[in-house]
Amino acid sequence: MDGYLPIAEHGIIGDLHTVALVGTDGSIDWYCCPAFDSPSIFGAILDRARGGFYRIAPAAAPWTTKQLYMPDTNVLITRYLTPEGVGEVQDFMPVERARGRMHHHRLIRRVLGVRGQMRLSLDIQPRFNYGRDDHQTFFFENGVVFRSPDICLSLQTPLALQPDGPGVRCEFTLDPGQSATFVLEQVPETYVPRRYSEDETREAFEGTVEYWRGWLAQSRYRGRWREMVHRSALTLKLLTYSPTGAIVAAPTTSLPEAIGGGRNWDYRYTWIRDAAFSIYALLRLGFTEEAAAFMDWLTQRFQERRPGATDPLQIMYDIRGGFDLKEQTLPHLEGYRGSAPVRIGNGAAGQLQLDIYGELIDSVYLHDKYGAPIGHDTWSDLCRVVDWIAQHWDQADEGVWEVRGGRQHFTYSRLMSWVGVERAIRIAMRRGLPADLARWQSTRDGIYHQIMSKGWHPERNAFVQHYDTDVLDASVLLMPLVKFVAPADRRWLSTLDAISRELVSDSLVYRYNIEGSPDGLEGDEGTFSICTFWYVEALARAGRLDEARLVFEKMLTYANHLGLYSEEIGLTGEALGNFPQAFTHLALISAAYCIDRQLG
Amino acid sequence: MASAGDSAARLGRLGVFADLTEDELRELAAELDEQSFPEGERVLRQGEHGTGLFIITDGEVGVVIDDEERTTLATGSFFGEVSVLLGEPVTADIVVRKPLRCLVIPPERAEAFLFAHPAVMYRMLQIEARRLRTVDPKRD
Repeated sequence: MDGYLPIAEHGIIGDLHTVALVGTDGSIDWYCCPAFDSPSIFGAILDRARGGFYRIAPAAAPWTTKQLYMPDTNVLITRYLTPEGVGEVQDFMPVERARGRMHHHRLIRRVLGVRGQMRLSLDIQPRFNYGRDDHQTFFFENGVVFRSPDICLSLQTPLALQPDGPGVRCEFTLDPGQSATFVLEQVPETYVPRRYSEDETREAFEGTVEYWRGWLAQSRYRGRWREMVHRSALTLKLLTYSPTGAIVAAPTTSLPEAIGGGRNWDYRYTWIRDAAFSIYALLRLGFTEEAAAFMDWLTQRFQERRPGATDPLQIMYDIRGGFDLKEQTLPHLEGYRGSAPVRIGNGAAGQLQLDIYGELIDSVYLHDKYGAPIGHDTWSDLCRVVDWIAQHWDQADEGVWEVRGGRQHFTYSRLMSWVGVERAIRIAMRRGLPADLARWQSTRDGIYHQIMSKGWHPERNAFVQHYDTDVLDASVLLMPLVKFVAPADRRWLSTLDAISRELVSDSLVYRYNIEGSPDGLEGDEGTFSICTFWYVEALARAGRLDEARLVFEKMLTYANHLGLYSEEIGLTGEALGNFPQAFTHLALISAAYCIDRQLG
Repeated sequence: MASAGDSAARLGRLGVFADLTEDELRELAAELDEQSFPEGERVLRQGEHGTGLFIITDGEVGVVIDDEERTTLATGSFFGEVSVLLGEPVTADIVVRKPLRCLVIPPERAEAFLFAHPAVMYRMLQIEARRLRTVDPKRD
């Protein structure tokens, strides 16, 4: 299985429609166009031989590489160092803001000679539709057009390109100060490649830098770890689909939770839970526009009717709000380092996960308080949801971790049902909005008492995963964070101690014990980064501030060279699972904010 | 020796022939002559008359005017078309930079060729339009 870069050896660029993963070796190994959930065109990260790639790198070994972002932007720089010279590639996708025109999804690679002389090679091997479609390559005088049955791309450059199988390649030499630019964009079938002038690409570069810096300037965060917090915010923004305001959980599919394992899922969708948490994190930093866009998206979801559905929302949607996410496998792809199957679509979409309403109403509450007051229609929709929770909270579901081993009465699902009703009451009280408060309060208190009696395990002296087990679950770390329990409550402190003993390994947190609580899936998994950040916050709120700070600092060492995280961390510190993952980054923001405030 | 199928496949890579079917490409491969030129050779000379239309299938040439190389052309490009269409002398030297293979359409056959292949004529027109736009980005 040679030839695969570690997952963490990638950076990410994007245009708020889609992203590309750029390896430290200068290879774009993942790119779906025109949107996050479109079929891949470069998918070497899932199959080195069949997936397709787009690489710009020194023509001859040996060379070493460094990768960084232009400060405060999502413009990525990959640098190459050789005994003869230094060169770098600036990768970026301009954010097009004009609506109604064909979006070009320009992926621009500017290659610059820095020191000495450097000979570089470009190799581009597109493989359309996850490598299932053939394409034709047409040569013009300013580049080539790749024509597949569903989409055409053009690679434009003044340099002469040579055929190389179904792709093209070229070699070129740069002296200090010289540059070569390659523009890959979506084009109509009859397109004729054009020559981009140096002025034009420089303007695109400066415009992209300016866009990201202008966006980040809205942040009000001035605390410790500002660079990490801001990198997380920039990453969350990159995972936003600007036409609808939806946020994907991660831009990749099937990067494995264990190398060689089968826990490989498609995360290029919008989970209500993850998106709500993301909005929460962005609002904390002062980004209100994203919250408003997401609220619009959400209002549309509330107002549509899904055939045969009785619950107000599905747990996840596609980025346009579609709810048919049929799961299928792609057996022709071997998967990252042989981790099959590769899946597209997501079969968990039909699950019942009662917690989503809690995260959702919490984000509406925060938007109402810190963003813009919600309008009548949103409030009416919300009232329907609360009434639905009042009727349905007391049933088994699949839970936050989307287990496929059958429904249970999960403590976390109850906890978030409590949050949903409690926050709705707060909005009604604060705004004087009409609501059946007596009924809502009775529901809220009923949930509370049930958690305290059935979710609490007296022998374990801890809150447990569900009502029929003594297994611990890291999701209950949110109890003090959502203000269900006081951070120093006796029951809570003993739960925290139990979690520290059983789920924490060298400061990293497992979400639950798979052996003790079979989840209907085969294989192992690493520690869950979001759980570690929740743990940090729970420690800090419990007054164990020094410990919280140390765990947080240790956790920062597991970020990659750019400050990016995937979903999980393996035993030797390697990134596992889809990458980069919104859930982890939003939890980092929340934990940093919490500790910084407590440190004063 | 390349088969007719190989030749058609090579022609099919060229942007000017992007809209032709496989049968049309095979007919074209049989109809057109392909010539090779070594590196350094001057394929056309400024002021020359009656040269023909050249479509590059492989290699690279420099476009030289008054001893100054203005641009290079590679696979998928063509040259000599202005001279053929207007019946006027060539305005630039074309010098081979990397071993060149190109289709050559003699001037007396150029008009018939273009009328027989309107899809090719349309593509050439598009490419000329792109050249004009590159010279003057404001031109409409």
